[in-house]
Amino acid sequence: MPYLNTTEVDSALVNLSRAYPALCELIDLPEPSIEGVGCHAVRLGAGPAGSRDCVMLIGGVHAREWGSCEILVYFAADLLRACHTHSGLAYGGQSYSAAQVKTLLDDLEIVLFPLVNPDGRKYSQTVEPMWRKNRNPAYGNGEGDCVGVDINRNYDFLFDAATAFAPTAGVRVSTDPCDPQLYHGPGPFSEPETRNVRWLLDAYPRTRWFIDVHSFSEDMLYVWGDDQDQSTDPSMNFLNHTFDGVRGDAGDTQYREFIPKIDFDHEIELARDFRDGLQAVRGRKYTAKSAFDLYPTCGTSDDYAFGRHFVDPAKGKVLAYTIEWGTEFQPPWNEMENIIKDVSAGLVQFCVNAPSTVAA
Amino acid sequence: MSERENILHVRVTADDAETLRTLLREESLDIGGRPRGTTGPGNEMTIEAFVPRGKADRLAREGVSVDVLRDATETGRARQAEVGRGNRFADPQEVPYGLGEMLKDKGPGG
Ligand SMILES: [Zn+2]
Repeated sequence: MPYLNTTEVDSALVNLSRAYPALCELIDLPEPSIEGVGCHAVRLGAGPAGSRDCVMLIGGVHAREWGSCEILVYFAADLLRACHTHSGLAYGGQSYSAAQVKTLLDDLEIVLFPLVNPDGRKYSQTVEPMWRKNRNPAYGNGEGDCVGVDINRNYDFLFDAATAFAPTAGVRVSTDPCDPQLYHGPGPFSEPETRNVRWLLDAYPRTRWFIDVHSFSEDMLYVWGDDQDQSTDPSMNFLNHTFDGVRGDAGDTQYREFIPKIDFDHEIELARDFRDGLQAVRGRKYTAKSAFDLYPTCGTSDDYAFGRHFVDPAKGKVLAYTIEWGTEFQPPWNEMENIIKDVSAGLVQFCVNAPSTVAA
Repeated sequence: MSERENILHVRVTADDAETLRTLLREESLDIGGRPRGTTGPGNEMTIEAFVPRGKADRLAREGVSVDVLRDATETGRARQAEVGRGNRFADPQEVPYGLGEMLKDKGPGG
């Protein structure tokens, strides 16, 4: 059972929705990829659409991080099959009861968008294995590395890094269309792949948790990614231009990104739940920590998702995460299977505990 | 396209965190996802990175050493053989199964 090609990822979602019509709904994303590939997500849950708080998971954003798609497709397949057959679920040394699985799909919606960047994945799986970006030829000369945008730098969060960050911060983003990895595009949401994710967040306003599945480093990262977290000064935040030019330096107190204490506690709590659920499978020790470490990032999905309700208080609060699974982008399939079990168990644990972070 | 250099997966070791940060500022290094620097021994910081073959040697400098872990492009090409051909879900009745084990509850008190 090797890696899924791009057609297989999509067909798997279609077939899941056919096999479990009472629990799984196919979602058409509004925009095809740059190369014209239509995209699907699925919504899992026993209730009508929009009637429950929602966990949203996306994957396949970075082309070369192949296993992210399989993680999400097989996680969905496990939940659906277990719920349908009134079974519990076991992954190595970790197990969940049939009642836990049922409660999960009764009380939550889980929206999964496993392949955000189909063109990039196809290119990585058939031509250049280390490809990361999408395949948009519009901004460079359309050849070699001068193709593509890093989808996870294309969200609207401190997009203008030169203004927002300190010159010394070393923010990991590029304005050069020929940067092989980090070109952020001509403007926020310039890419259809990024706009599809934004559309999903808008279409499921009860999304309270968001997880973007990446590789690698065996981490469960919580916000923020632009600087260290702080919960004491609400005015020190990404919307406040007073702090332009000072963000992103590690270890200083000139700027740290504000996160309310209660959100910070919840972010950490669920990141640790994920880590613990995962570790019980076969002992892999992931680290639950802030996305900001050696250097800052900007334009990423997690900061955008959590930032939405600061920009527009009418929007719901979304606790946002990035998983970095594994220790290489394309492990041998045998090892990838182990990683899929690890991460699936962590995700079930996350979903089981997620409702505890919402005020009753 | 065939002229593109292979990418090496390397481990970069710097004498301390500041040396590593300086290197990261000066070189547009592909450091994968968001890998962390791991510390030790002493003040040493290491980070994994992906660099074109020709650039790997040029990274090494005062306070910075580079070890090649693998040829990532070559490894990736080998992995391409592990990608499905055709469509294993072409039949609409073919239901994907995950890798979890289905547990039958033993009933109340079981
Ligand atoms: Zn990634």
